[in-house]
Amino acid sequence: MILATGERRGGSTRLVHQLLRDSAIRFPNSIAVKSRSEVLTYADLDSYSDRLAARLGLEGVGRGDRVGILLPKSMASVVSVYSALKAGTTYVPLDADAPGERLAVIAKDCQIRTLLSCSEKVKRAGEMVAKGAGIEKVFFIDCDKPAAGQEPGRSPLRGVEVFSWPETLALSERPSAVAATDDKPAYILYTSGSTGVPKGVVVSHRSCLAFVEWAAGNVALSPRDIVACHAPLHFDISTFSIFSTCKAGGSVLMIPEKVPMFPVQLAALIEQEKVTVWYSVPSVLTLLILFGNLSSRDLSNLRAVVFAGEVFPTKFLRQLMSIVPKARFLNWYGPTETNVCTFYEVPQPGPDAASSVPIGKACPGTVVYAVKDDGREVTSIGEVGELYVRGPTVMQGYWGDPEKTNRVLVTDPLDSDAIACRTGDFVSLDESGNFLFLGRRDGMVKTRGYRVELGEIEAVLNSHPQVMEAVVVPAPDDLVGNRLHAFVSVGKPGGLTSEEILTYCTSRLPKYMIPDQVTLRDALPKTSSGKTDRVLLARSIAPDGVKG
Amino acid sequence: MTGDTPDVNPESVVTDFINREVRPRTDVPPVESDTSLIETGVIDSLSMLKLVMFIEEKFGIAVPPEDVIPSNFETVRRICGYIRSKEAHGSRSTGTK
Repeated sequence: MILATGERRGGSTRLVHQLLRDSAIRFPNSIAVKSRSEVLTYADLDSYSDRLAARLGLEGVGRGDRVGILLPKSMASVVSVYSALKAGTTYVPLDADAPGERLAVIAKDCQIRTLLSCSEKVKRAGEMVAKGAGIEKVFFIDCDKPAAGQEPGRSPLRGVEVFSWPETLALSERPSAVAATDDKPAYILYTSGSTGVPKGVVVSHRSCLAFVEWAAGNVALSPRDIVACHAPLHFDISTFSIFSTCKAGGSVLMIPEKVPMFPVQLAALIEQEKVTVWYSVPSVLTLLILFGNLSSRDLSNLRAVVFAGEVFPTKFLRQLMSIVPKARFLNWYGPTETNVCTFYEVPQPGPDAASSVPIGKACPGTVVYAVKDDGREVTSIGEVGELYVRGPTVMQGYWGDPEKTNRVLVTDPLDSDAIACRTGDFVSLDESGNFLFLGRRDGMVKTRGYRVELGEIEAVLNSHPQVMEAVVVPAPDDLVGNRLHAFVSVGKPGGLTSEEILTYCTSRLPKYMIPDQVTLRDALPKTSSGKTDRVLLARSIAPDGVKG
Repeated sequence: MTGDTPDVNPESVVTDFINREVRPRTDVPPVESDTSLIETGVIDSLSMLKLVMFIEEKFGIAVPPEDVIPSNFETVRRICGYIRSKEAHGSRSTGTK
């Protein structure tokens, strides 16, 4: 009625980057971003992103465009996100460690013609261009190393217009106001696709804000908080540290990609920087628990530890809860398609050794329920169903792929007037009404917190001319969730080595999708129906113990 | 394959392990003694763990977490320097795991 007409008119025009505008007014001199030894205040972050947004606008990049972000985790990456949004574009964070060929596939999929990058990543940008990504303009942003100019003559970006950071900084104007509405896409996150092509999850300003504001409230973020950003930007976990922190006027600490390699240094960083809120996948925390000497650190500032993306092994969670007894522990759940849709606060001392951490109950404003095979809702303990989600945080769809979108955004099985997101995750209920994650409907597995479609890896393996047949089997592992074990049959023995197979994969897949192990077989075992016997192969992998 | 082969040259053992077990998962060219394992991205947090466990087993030394820092693990040369210093201090583990 009145409400519906109001919504049809465009509803709210609240946009994600207004979080920054507001905080720049309220806390101009507070630290917005910390990266290595550099800091950026809210006033600086607002001003830098204004100038880059204005530069984008002057060069004709704006509303309706997708802008790729190809940067290391840095102050520049935060500036680039806000610049892209202020210019009215949709940002697409790219995995700077992924091969140029895959990045080019993504760029072509959503027609990225503009990149925000820096000198450090110019080689990767060049690879994208060489693979026919269709990039026309690259804007350099080197605010971590001020005044670092580019040398266009030596640039591998031939045929591409390049704009230097000093050029952008010299601008004094603000970007022209963009008449956008909050149903426009704020960002697209690419995830693994089962048919071999990554798919882009489109998230609107409204969905992003719905999550960001709920999350800031759930953790009770304040201007005093120092929130660690461990996840790369192309991982949806990063939106919490970048946007929720900004809403609260706190500081985000960008953790350089190389630091987690040395758990003791990561632990030292958490102590020295007085991190108050941590959000990452469990495997990062497990590494810290096992190899970070956490008990020798003063972690008294750490008041909230949030984890998501995979199941946190109970024994490690309990260890962490005893090391940081005063912190709150929160398990957030939700595929990228739904942001976060359920949450669970873990009471001390953690779950019983034999049970797993629940994914909890629906976030306010979100409707979450499980549907059994017979189409009825799961209402009692012991029943198993697939989880469905309805609410403001759900994605708009997969970019340019209505067919895949329609398979996931479906008619609500319990209410034929509504659309619900089908997660593909099987759950049950515990005695307190919390959902428990049980497993996947399809061939998707989690490794290192990333979701991986086994079919995408198999598609790459099978595309090798000498490969007869290949399957990838997940080997459950305490540390990373699952290790990926590829079984490959290569016609002629000695024709192809496992090293060559891995090398073939590295030019086509991101690092987290490269099999951890490749086993060559003359032929793969078959079931009586003639399919590859995945169960038998899975059994053939000896359990891989974790030290500690 | 454990610490009972004292005469192996650590440089070639470690280089070989990285090039055989770790590098093929990246697009980095083969590493040499002074290649930065960190800057090139050849090693990540999990392969670092694999490398540490390999060194512990191969050379029969215990590598405590506080020793896993860039000054000991930046390059193959540094790793070997570290292994030698551990061996010189007679900190060979008993081999019981």
